[in-house]
Amino acid sequence: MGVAMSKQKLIEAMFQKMNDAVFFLKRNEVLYMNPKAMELISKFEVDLFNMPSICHVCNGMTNEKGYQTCSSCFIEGDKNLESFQLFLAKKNDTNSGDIPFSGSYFLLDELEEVNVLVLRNLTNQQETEKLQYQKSLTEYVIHASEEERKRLSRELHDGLAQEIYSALIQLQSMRYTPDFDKVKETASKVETIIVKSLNSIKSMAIDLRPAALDDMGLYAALKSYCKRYEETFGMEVELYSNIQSERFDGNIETMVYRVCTEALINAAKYADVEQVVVYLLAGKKQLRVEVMDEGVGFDLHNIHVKGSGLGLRNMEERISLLGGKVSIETSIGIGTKVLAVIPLEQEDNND
Amino acid sequence: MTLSLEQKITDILIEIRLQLEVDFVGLAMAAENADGEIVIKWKYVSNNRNNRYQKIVLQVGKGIAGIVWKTARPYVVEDAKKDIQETKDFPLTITEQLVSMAAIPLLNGNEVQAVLLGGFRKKKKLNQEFIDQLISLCTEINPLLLEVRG
Repeated sequence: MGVAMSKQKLIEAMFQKMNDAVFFLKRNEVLYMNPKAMELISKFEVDLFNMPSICHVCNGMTNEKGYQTCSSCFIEGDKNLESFQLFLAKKNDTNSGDIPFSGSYFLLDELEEVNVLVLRNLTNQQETEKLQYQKSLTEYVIHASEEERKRLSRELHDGLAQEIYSALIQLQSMRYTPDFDKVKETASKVETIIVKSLNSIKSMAIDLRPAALDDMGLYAALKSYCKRYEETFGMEVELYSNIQSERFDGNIETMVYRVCTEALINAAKYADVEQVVVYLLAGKKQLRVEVMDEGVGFDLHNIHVKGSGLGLRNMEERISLLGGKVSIETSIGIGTKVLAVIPLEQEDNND
Repeated sequence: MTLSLEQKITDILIEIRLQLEVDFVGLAMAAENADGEIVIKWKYVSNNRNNRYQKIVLQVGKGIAGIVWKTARPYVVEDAKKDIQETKDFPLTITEQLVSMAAIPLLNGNEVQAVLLGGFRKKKKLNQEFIDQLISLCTEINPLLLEVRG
């Protein structure tokens, strides 16, 4: 008997002290709840008297249908759900958004129709996940910039330096050439080398950041990029736009340019087609960029990573910095469409 | 003049492809662009997957053909997936999905006239023997190239 007593005591103590909010529910009322559950009720929009119809308080759960959705909710389906994720709104606080909870819901007593609902705040875990995501993105950015430096250094050292060196040698040899015709010949060789070096410098500068982007704006920069892209990858680009010389915020121009080039490079590398279509459309409130190909496409839910796999994330990150959204529509054999929408007016009430 | 020059060259490329059992053969030549610079383009190919090769324009020193043009030496890529970091510098490996390939210069004296590339779409070991075979099969092209240049 003593053992049973202490077991009950332990269970009672656990119920009082545990960090999960526990509700015993009978149809429409709460039979018992632990201190954590009371705390939860005081902080979140939870209607005590409508507890079992959790839809009143729940702002969506996470399942295969979506991150925050009401479709195939646990309430409707299987009553004994081991673990699920749902969202609750904080009281008197519309800024911080919905807080994620992990919950479990199970039938305790069939006759009495008593159910147990356990909720656990997942904020910390999600923060960690976010941090991890940020970390991998930072790593990607660092890696990409390091690669870019490597490439530049290689080009400077193996390309440009070599060319200038050979021009130097030719110039030195001219000093000791008495024959004027020979001197002229060498001079024209040196000239060719220097013209080539100049061209390499120009193309390197454009690769780094096209001057057209600052001087002439987004459309002109994209147009000239498309021309170089055609020659680089052998792809045909059709660029349609309703903007000519309009200028946008510098940040927007840079980001859209980068996202567009990234999407184009992806198409050249993976789509396996000869043509890609780009729409750049400006409205009063938003800027729309579409990069479409009718190539091999891929399975969005089962991405077979061929590159670093972070290019898409990088695009999303860039556009979300501008308050915009990137969406990708693709299916195998049909093609791929990357769509970015960027708001042009800063609104305070965006969600 | 029963066969045009282009047909003759293409026939030789097909011959090379069958003899070496490679998946793709291409011949790159120099051209002048609008600014009067020398650029390199793939002019003749055999067993191409698409026509993207026609639009590719390489600078001397860039791409396999560009490198061979500059160095006048054979260039071998055993495994494009591992050996090529910057795929945009090697567009033919993307458009023709080449994995292992070798390219050789076709010389007229010291001057490079063209670059011939033989490539596989699967990973293959490429030894010196392969390059020698490639070179020996190209001897027929040289005189034709002089005609092309006129």
